[in-house]
Amino acid sequence: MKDLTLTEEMFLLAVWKLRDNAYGVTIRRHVSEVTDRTYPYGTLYSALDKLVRRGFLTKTESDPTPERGGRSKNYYTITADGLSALKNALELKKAMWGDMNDVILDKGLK
Amino acid sequence: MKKCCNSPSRSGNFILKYLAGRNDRNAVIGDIEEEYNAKILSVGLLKAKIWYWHLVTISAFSFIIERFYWRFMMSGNYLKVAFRNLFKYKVFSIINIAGLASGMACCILIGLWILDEMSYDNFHENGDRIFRISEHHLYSDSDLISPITPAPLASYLSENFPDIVETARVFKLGSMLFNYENKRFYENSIILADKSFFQVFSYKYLRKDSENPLSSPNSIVINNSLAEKYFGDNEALGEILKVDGIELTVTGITEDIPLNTEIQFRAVISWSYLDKFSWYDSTEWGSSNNETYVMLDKNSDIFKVENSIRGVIEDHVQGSKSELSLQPIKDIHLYSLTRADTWGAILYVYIFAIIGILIMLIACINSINLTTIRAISRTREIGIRKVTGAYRKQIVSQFLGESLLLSFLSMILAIIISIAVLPVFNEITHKNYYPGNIGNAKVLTILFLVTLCTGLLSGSYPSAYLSALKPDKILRGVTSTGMKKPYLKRVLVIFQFGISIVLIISTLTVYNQVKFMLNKDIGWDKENLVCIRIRGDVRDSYEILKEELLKFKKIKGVTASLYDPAVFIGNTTGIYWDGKNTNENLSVGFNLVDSDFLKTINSDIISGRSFSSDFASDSTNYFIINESLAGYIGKNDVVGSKFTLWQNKGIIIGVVKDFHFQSMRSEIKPCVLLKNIDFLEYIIIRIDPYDNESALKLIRNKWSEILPDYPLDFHFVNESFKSIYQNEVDMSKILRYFTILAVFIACLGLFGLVSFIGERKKKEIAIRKVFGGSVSSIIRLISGEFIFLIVISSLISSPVAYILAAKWLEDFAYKVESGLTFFYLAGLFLLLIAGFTVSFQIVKSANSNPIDSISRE
Repeated sequence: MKDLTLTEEMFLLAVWKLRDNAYGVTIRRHVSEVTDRTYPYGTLYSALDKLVRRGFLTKTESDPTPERGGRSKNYYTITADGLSALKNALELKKAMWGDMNDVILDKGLK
Repeated sequence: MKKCCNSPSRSGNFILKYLAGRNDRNAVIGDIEEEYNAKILSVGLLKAKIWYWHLVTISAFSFIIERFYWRFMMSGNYLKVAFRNLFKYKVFSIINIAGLASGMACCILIGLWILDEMSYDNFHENGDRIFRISEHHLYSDSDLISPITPAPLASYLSENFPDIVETARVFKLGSMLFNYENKRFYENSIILADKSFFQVFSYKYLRKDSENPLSSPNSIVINNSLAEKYFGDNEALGEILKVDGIELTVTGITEDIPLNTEIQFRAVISWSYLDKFSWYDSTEWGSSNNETYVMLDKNSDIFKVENSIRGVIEDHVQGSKSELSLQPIKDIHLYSLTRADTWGAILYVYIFAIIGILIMLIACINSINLTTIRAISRTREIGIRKVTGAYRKQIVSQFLGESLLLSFLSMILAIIISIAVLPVFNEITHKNYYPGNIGNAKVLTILFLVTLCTGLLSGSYPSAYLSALKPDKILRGVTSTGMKKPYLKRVLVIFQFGISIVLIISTLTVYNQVKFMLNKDIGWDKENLVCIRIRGDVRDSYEILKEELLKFKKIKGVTASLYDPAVFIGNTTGIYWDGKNTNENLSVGFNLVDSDFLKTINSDIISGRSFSSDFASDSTNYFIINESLAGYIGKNDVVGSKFTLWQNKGIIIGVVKDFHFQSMRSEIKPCVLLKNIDFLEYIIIRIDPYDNESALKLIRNKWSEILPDYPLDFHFVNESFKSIYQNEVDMSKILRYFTILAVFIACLGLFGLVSFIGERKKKEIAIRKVFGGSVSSIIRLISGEFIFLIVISSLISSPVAYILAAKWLEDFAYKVESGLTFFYLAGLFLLLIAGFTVSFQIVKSANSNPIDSISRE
């Protein structure tokens, strides 16, 4: 299985954290707040789309609401595969970072 | 806030709608709108708007990048790989592009020609209501469709048939002597027409002196270039032009009319011009001289009109059997009846359309073969692409894309080639195309479609085959799946050569038939005969001229006749002899001649005597008939028996051996000659065969001495004889070029195939050589296959070619036998050419050093 890219990992994590309220606006807000970067909708939706296609997320359409000009929301939920992918990503990082700590990192090249 | 929901912007939505993927379209727009509405509450409308547009812009760009960027990157890679391959395999690419480009160039030219042929007389405003009357003569031995109808027909039709709203008669005069001040030239394409001419047809006046310039007697309407030629910058209107000695007033000037019309004219003379001639009788139903055009009412039923006029001629001419019909003006060129013994252009349109398609097919097959062969060396690339995640669809589109690229490159080259050969093409087709014609929208559309089809067709097989390969097998080196026995390629080669053989045989057939007709013993000697048209008062000086010319030794004979001896145009049914079945409606050729006619053209009298100036009574009461007519009369000795032609009752004084006086499409018809010096149209002079030049000089001098007012205007009879077969001569030429092209393209393909087989059998050859195989045995090994292929394709295509050739020859009463020789010749010729093509490559492979081929393993 292909590893998750960093962007994919972030969005997947965001969806998981947001639980029942994971749709375009909330996901974008959450990721932007945490990372302090702006993610345009193009990036957001193509990442989500790819995750859906890989089976890490499922997409459901809500009923239309008036404040969205009568348009529906795409709610995303994480799947078991998505969870294990997240777990893998974490394992990978842990394994890579395992023999390192902040002190060594601070010393840098010295 | 008054409303909870502000819709931000239609245009913003529009942008997002088209950039976002179909599935997420609504969600994206909804998301942004939701955030926007929240923003309005927190930061106010203006800032929210700014924020909104900022977000829409960056989102739009991010969509573009996400959706398209990687595709572009990949296509860029494909393009790069395509060009690399193009340059890496230079020979293949050159052969491939050259083949496709010459095929396409041929398509461009054929397309140009066909479009032009189809455009004849398309420009008349009322074109769909204009018809030419044609008369179908039913003779007892044959029938003849003629566009020439009697003079009173036009007015009769318009008076008696309300559906016919306008009629126009056209009398084609051919060339006339124009004279203004000191300018004196023969001008061709001069016609006589009714005053309704310009109402029926859409030829435009530039200037005219009255509402209808043709209505006044003795008026002439000339085209712009004639006006400039004779009057320069001065106003031509109102000037007097002498035409064949008769003074006419210029009453109108037209633009130069387009070439794509069958009613070609440079000047139109008013109909009353004919009143000056004693032979013309405007009420005579029995003789036909002009074409009759009719314009029908908008709502009339063509078939009804046609039915009602069908028997008009029979009603007026006793004992005649003929039917009238309507021919749409647009059909005149394609389904010509004007030249009674040609098929009309439509046949050539079909023939050349088919040839174009066949040549393009050969070129496509080449491309398929070459692309497939070349693709085999690219299996590793495909393996790598597949391993790195390429879908089958992508491989297919990569190879289709490459062959499209190739065909578009060929298209550019094809345009260049066709512009380069345009002058030659113009010469063969007697057309006047210039490079701008190729820029015609229709031509370009056809070309674009042909290119597209070619690209897709030639890329389809390789891409289907290659994309199906399994990457694991490719990379492990098992690549020969299905390629060991290239059946498809063999079939394609057989097909290519089959087409080539059909073309070669057709070319040989047409060429031989033309040669046969031009060289056949026609019963008289057409060489060294000079023919001078008699016009105006030349007739009065004929006797003097004859007498003077005969004094020279280099002039072997002088005579005159109604028709050019190469073609007796006239046919008549007005003959009678004792014992003739009165129900029989036999049509015979005729000619009115001066006394030495038969002697001058060198034909043989088999019984009786020829006309002679010694017998003054020869005129009008004595006839000479040909063998064929003698056969119809049927007596043992027809000389001396009674014979009647029209009103002339007399006796037959001689029988001439059958000679050709019309096209060889039909059998030599019965024919009657009558001595009559009042209706002579051509002076015929036999000159010294060894010294044409000085004989012509003598004629020229004598002529200008006796007839200073008429510049000498002559042609050789063998030229007019050749012109009967002009269509066949042209076709023979064009076919020759196309055949050369087809064989050339097929050989290109063969060359590619041989290099492939040489490559594939490299190791086999090397091993054979290591074990002592001789060079010649290896040459035999490779070439054996091609000889086999060519023999097979000859066997398959010969019957097809034979049927086609026989079909074409059916139209000729006198024809060559399409014997087996042609087929041997065609096969042998192809074998030679193919052998020559492949020999280099074969010798190269056979001579190669085995070490180079096997040491790599």
